[in-house]
Order: sequence, then structure tokens, then C-alpha cells
Amino acid sequence: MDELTLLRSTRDDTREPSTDALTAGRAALLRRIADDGATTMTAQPRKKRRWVPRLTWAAAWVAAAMTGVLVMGNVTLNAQSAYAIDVLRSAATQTIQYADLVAGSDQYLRSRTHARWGVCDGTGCEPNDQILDVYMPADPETEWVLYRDWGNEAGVLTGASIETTRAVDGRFYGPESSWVNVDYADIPLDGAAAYEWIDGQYIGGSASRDEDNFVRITDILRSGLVPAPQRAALLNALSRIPGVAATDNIANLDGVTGVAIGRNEPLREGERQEIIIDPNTGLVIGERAMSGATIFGWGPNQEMSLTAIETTVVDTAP
Amino acid sequence: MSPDNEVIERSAREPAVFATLYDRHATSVFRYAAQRLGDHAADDVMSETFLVAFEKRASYDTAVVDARPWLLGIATRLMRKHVRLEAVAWKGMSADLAAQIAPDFIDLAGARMDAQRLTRRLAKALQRLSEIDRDTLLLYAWGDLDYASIALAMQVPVGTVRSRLNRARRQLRRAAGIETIEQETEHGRADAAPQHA
Repeated sequence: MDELTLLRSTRDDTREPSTDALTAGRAALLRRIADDGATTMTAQPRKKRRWVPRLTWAAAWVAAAMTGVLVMGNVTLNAQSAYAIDVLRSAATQTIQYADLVAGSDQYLRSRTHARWGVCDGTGCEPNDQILDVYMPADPETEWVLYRDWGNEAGVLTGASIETTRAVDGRFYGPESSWVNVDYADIPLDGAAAYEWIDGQYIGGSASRDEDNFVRITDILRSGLVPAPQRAALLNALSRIPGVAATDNIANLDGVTGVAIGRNEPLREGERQEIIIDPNTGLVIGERAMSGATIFGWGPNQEMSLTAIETTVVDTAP
Repeated sequence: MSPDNEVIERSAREPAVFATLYDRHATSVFRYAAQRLGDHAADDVMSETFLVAFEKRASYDTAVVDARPWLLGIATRLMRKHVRLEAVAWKGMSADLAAQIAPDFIDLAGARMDAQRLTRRLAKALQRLSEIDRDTLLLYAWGDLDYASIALAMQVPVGTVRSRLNRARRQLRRAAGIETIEQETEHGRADAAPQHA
């Protein structure tokens, strides 16, 4: 051991910021982000078409009603959660019975994400559609392919709007960033065990431990590539997270409907990220982000981004 | 999970996603700042670091996957505003630090002096470090960054980081009276240039 290593051994990894400090810091950042959005909005010329949907009176009424529902208390939230638990556990059961898509030795499992994310600049926001096709080979340790159409934007790798990238183990953007951040074989197949597995990996962060657990599970599921047994376990694990909520008949970007699964986090003031699942297969068929308070021109409870995810088996990759 | 560089790149069009970086790295920034300044000032540094980072996100090098060095670099610069506070804190800290490492230095030095005397000498050596050497040393020791990441954080070449750390190391060794051993073992020692540098 040399002197520098000795000094390093004095590092104190037990220090944790208080919940109050973390919450205050996050709130300050969100205020700055919102101010930035507001500045952007007011700076835009009037003639420019605004993509951000305006809050109609009808939407305002719905939003106000939703806000009312949310502040009515735990009775309603508990009812929402009870329904979400039922939906998720039923989907988990269906998933196990579902004949899953499995790529043959020369085939790929392809997950196509059609995303509509807003592109904002000094003059306002415009919708931009991206296509992300991830080709996972039957042996995931061999070369994966990512085809990405950035829409109106320049790609980050080549500057072209369409990029095709190949990388072993899905590490398209560098050796430390795999497209799929978990080895599926590590996921316990029992729902309670899968929940414990996720919860045991919590190392701080997010507005709450429950929120962080929710985000890490949905991050795995949103790849569209999780095999059915592990997917069933993760859906069941989601049902065990306090505050989980479900909304029926939500259409993804391609018009396919499913059940949106989100979570009510008290510290987010209604803002939430949701995954949309097909209750019959447990597959994630899209995602959406809903606004909480008024931000960047969105009113409360409005859709800020929407995607569609489709998983298929294909014989070739680009 | 999107890597940090993608989150920052995406935040240009969806500013709200920048909060993801806060969720990932706030604790790490806090720990580094708290060990240097104490918990109270660290709360402010943690919060301010992300406000500055959000403002400067357009200048982030999106080829760099991990944003932690960038954030700790911002935190380090912000801490210079607390120079008076740190000067007081550092005086106590360097003494604590010296006391913690003195027994191991005695092993390195072959028990040439008693622990109390060595602690005093190490504390003095630490206090005499220049500001940039101290920042470099503490990014390594308490920021848990490797040489390349410190270079990113301080926006200097890796060679500069190496020479600053070697200088700090030499001062500590001199204080402990083990210069001769350094000369004997400098070549080929694994710790002189850590594997992750």
C-alpha cells in the first residue's frame, strides 16, 4: 500500500445527505428546470406553431378533478393500488402461460421503440419521432445491432440522422453502458424474491426507496427483451411496491391499447412515468410521461412523451 | 437505464430528464463535499452543483459516459467559495487524517519515529499542499476518481494529475522521512501509478 492508497482508505462512504436536504436540492433543480422551460416558452415568436398542447377548459376540468381525486386521501389511492396489484398479478400469471417469443440460433429478438419526444430550442418545442430497433441475438454475448433513426436530429455517434451500430452485449455507447443493464438469468423467478432482489440493490437515490425500486424494475422491463418467466416475476414484484397505480385503456404511440402502470409519489406532485403493458402477455408495449404541476407549457396530468414498443423475432439484422 | 451522457444529451430537448442525474449522483457529490466541508455546507454544495451543471449541460462532452467526474469538478470549484470555511475545516481534518494514516506510515517508514511526532509532521505536510494539489489529492482520496477522471474533472491532462499526486505523495513521504525508500522502490511499484489510472 502506498501513501495515496492510505489516504484513500480514509474515505467515508457512510455519509448520507438527509432526506430533507435531498428533497430540497431536487426541488431547487426542478424549479430551475421549470424556469428554463418558461424562459424558452416566453422567448418564442408568436407565429411559431407550438407543439406543447394547450390546456383546454375540458382538460383543465379533468386535471382539477384528478387533483381533487388525488388529494381526497388514501381511500382512493388505496383503491387504485388494489386495482393495480390485481392487474399486475393477473398479467404475471398470463405471462407465464404465454408462449413467449424466442429467437432461434440464427435469429434475433427485435425490440422496436417508436418514440415521440419533444425537441426544444430557443424558439419552442417540436415533436420529434425516433425509431430505435434493438436486435438481440439468440446468444446475447455475441454482437447486437442497434438501428436508430433520430428523426429531425443528428445522431450522437456519426452526426447522421440514421445510425446503425454493432456491439457485443449491447454496449452500443461504450463498454460501460449495456443496452440491457442486467443479466436476465440473475432475476429470481418468484415475485416476492424478485422484489427482495430489487430492494436489496437500493443504494440511495430517487425521491424514495419505493420510487427507485419502481424505476429500476421498469427500466428492465422497458427493453422489451425480458424472457417471460423473469417478466412475470418482475410484474409481480411491481405489484408489491407501495403506491403503484393502474389506468385502463391507454393507447401507445401506435394506437395499441393496454394498461398504464405508474406510481403515485408524494414528492413528485403528480408527475409520473408509466409503462403500458399488454395484460395478456405482460409485454411492455409503450411508455408515457405525465406532467404533475404546470411545467414547460404542459398543464397538470398531461402527456409529455409517449412511445410504442413492439417485440418480434426476425431472421436478419441490418 | 440510459447512461449519463445520453441523459444529458436528451436533456437538451427534454430538460426534465436532467433530474435523473441528480437522483444518480447527488449522494456521491454530498459525500465528497461533506468530507471536505462538513454536512451543513455540503447540502448547499450538493444542490448548487446540479444547478450549475444544468446551466452548463450544453458544454458537456457527450463522449464521456459517466458524468460523476464532471459533477465533482463543478463541486470542487464551488467549494472554493467556501475557502475560509475549508481552511478552518482542513486544519482539523488534516490533523485527523494524519492521525488515521500515521500508524501505516510508521510501517512504511520502518518505525523511525513515534506516532505522535509523525502525525504532527504529516498534518503539517498536508496543510502545506497548494490548493490545486489539495483538490487533486482529495478528488482521488475522497472523490474516488481515478487519474483519467480527475483529469476530466479538473480539465487538465492526465500527466498533470499524475505529477500533482506525485508531488503530494513526495511531501508526505518527506514528512515521514522515507525519501530514501521512495528512491529505492519508485521504479516498478504498482501503487505509484494505480491500475485504474
